[in-house]
Formats: sequence, structure tokens, C-alpha cells
Amino acid sequence: MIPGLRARERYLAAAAFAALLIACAFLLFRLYDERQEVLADFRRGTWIAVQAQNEHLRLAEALARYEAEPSAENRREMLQRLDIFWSRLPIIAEGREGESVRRLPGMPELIAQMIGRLPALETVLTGVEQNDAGSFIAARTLLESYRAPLNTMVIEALHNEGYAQSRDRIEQQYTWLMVALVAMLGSGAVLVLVLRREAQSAQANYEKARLAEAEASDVKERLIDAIESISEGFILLDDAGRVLIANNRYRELYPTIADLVEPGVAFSDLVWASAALGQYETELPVERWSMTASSGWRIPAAPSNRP
Amino acid sequence: MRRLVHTCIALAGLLFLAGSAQAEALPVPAGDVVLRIAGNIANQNDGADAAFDLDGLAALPHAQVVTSTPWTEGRTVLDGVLPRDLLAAVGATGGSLRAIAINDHAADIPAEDATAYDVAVAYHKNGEQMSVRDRGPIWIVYPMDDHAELKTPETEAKMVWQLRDIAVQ
Repeated sequence: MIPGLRARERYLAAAAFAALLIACAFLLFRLYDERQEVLADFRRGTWIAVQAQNEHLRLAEALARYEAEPSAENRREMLQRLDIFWSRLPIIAEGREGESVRRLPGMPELIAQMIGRLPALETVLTGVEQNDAGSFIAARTLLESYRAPLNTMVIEALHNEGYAQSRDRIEQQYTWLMVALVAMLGSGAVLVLVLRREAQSAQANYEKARLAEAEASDVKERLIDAIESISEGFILLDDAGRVLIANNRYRELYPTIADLVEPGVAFSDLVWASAALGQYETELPVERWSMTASSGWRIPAAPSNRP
Repeated sequence: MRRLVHTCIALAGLLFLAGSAQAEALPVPAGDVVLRIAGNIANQNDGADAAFDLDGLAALPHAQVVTSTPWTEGRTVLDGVLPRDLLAAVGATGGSLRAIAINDHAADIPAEDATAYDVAVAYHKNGEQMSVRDRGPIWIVYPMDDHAELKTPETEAKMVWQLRDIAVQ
């Protein structure tokens, strides 16, 4: 395994995880935004725009009625209609209700212009005279000048009202949601692939180790076969003088200690046991004899037929 | 506790209402009539209606609502009368109210609203009379800032401005 590759994969995994988190956060943000947008749709201020237009029509109606029948009652009615129409424009110009209308391009200027002409409208309406056709024409002309901007405002507000339901917005929101989902899927897939590769390389390492172990075991097996196949007694000791391996022929030669000859047993113990069990005839005390006997065996280069 | 208080207020209102039904005579308005109450009422001063000028409303127990609204900037101080005091004054018997504005916009105001909240039938905004151009002279205002549950389009629809008539149903 190349260490550089491992590091690269780790960076890739970290990047994929970060991308996944970012995509998740973005998705949540978009969903929250969607909720706000739909909720905001309930208050687009359309009805105050429509009210202004409606009151404008009713004022025009009241003016026409007064022109047709110039009674004090009709004049009072007309001036009250002017007051009501007047009251509708500042609501759009200030307050939360009118905010969405004000946000529309060009609307603040349009509303300001309409409000600015109100005193002039009041002047011509209070100045209309029964026998002065010109005064009515002037009043109608000024009143008529409100029609187009009010229409524009209502149409714009209505157009804006369905904003949450508008095709463009939904398409746009849908695109963003898709981008977030694809990013989540993509980064998730990368993360899975990297982790899978990691798992695969671990598996490969394990496989190699298993094979090496099997090979070692084969070698050991062959060594034992080789040792067993020779006709002489054979024993191999480690540096500490402990039995590493011994063939059966060795055990046959020293039947009294055959049961003790096992890997890990100290050779000095074998000697002791051998002496104690009377394998040898000697005048030396067991301690002395065994020290002499075992000391010669530390060097594998000095073969002997004694244990 | 709150419920108990409301019940007490309602009972007190009824007692006051029962007393006023016979005893109190409404003064005949001297100035411009700003509010006309019709329907199931015992005290009348203008045919079958009870008519009020600004002085007539100001003579009733005073109530104040300070709140923000969707149509004003910041918090607005509104002085007026509570519907229950107004209804007691005219000896009203009936459940709901129908509030009708100068432009014929109408909204139903349930009797529970008048007992549960200190709704104001306001005649002063920030200490001044309201002209028709400024959505006056009378405006029904709910204390939206004091009760979160009132911040709904339904409540906004009940906040009738340029109020002209109240029909007791």
C-alpha cells in the first residue's frame, strides 16, 4: 500500500463528507425559504391596491352623479368619496400591509406621484360649479389621470400575488432542490466508494497475511518431515537452551525422557530428568554431571550423541 | 383565573346592561354623528338607532390600546371605548356585532372577542382625532401586540376603519 494514495483517499473522503454536509444544509435552507415564501403569499397587499382602484371608480361615479344632479347631498357624498379614496393611498405608502406593493419595481415613485396629485384633485373637486362645464371637465381629466397608474399597480400586485405559485419560481426552487439532492447523492456515492476501497484494501492485506501464514506453516511442516526422515536422533535448541524441535528417533533413543521432550522444555531439565531416571551410569553427583553435560550442548556446532 | 375574570366582567356587564336598559337615557348628539348603533338595543336617541358624536363617545368609560398594526409604522396609541361599555350604554342584547365602514366594508365581531380582549372602538389616534383621510373617525382596534393569537388575517379583517355603523345581532 502506497502511503500517498491512502492520504489522497482520506482527503477525498473528508471532501465528500464536507460536500454532503453542505448539500444537506443547503437543502434545509431551501426548504425553509420555500415555507417562508408560501406563507408570505398570504400577505401581498393586493387587496389594498384593489381597494384604492375601487374607491377611485366610486369617486368617479359620485362625480358623475353630482354632475347629473347637483344636490348638496350628492356633493357631500362626492367629497366623502374623495376622502375615502385619499385614505387608501397612504396605507400603500406606509405600513407592513403595503410593503409588498412598494417592493415592486417603480411602485414607490408611482404611489408618491398619485399622493402628490391629491391636493390638486381636492381643489378641482371642491371647485366644480353647477353651470361650469369646464370645471367638471378639469375634475374628470385629473381623476382620469389616476386610472392608468392604479391599473398598473393592481396588475403588478396581482402578478406578484401568485408569486409563490408562479411557474418560474417553482421551476427555480425545484432546480435548486435538485442540485442539492444530486450533490448529496454524488458526495454520498464518493464517500461510499472511498470507504469501500478502504475496506477492500484491508481485505487484501488480510488475505496476504493469511497466505504468508499458510506458507510458513508449510515450510515448518516440511522441516519436520525432513527431520523425521533422518535415521539419527535430532534435537534443536534455542539460545536459551530450550527445545525448539526434536524428532521421534530422538525420543526412541531416550525412552525414559521421551514424554518430556517437547518444545519449550529446558534442555538442562531434560538432562536432570535423564540422570535422575538412570539413563546414565556415572560416579559424578547428578548436579555436577548435569552441569558438564548441558554446558556442551549450548553450541549447535558441537554435535554429540548424548542429550 | 383568567376565565373567572372574564366571567365576572361579563356578569358585571350584564348587570350594568340590565340597569342601564331602563334608567339611562342617551344624550342626543349635538355635533356630527360619527357612529350609529342599530339592531337589538334598548336605548335609542335617533329613531330606532343610538347615534354618537365624538363627545358622546368620549363621555363613555375610556379605554386605551397601544399596539402595532399592519397599516401603521411603530406602535400606535389608540383611545376609545370598549365594545362592552358601548353596548351597555345602548342597552344592547344580542350576541355578535356587525361593523360597517363608510365604504360599506363589513365585518362580524363575535361577542366573545369583546369579553376576551380589550378591543377598542377608537376615536383618537396618538392623541388626535382621525379624519376620514386618515382612516377615521372611528377604528376598531384589537390589542394585537398583547395577544400573539390575534396576529392573524382574520383579526386584521375585523379591524374595521372608517367605521360608520354597528348592527347588534
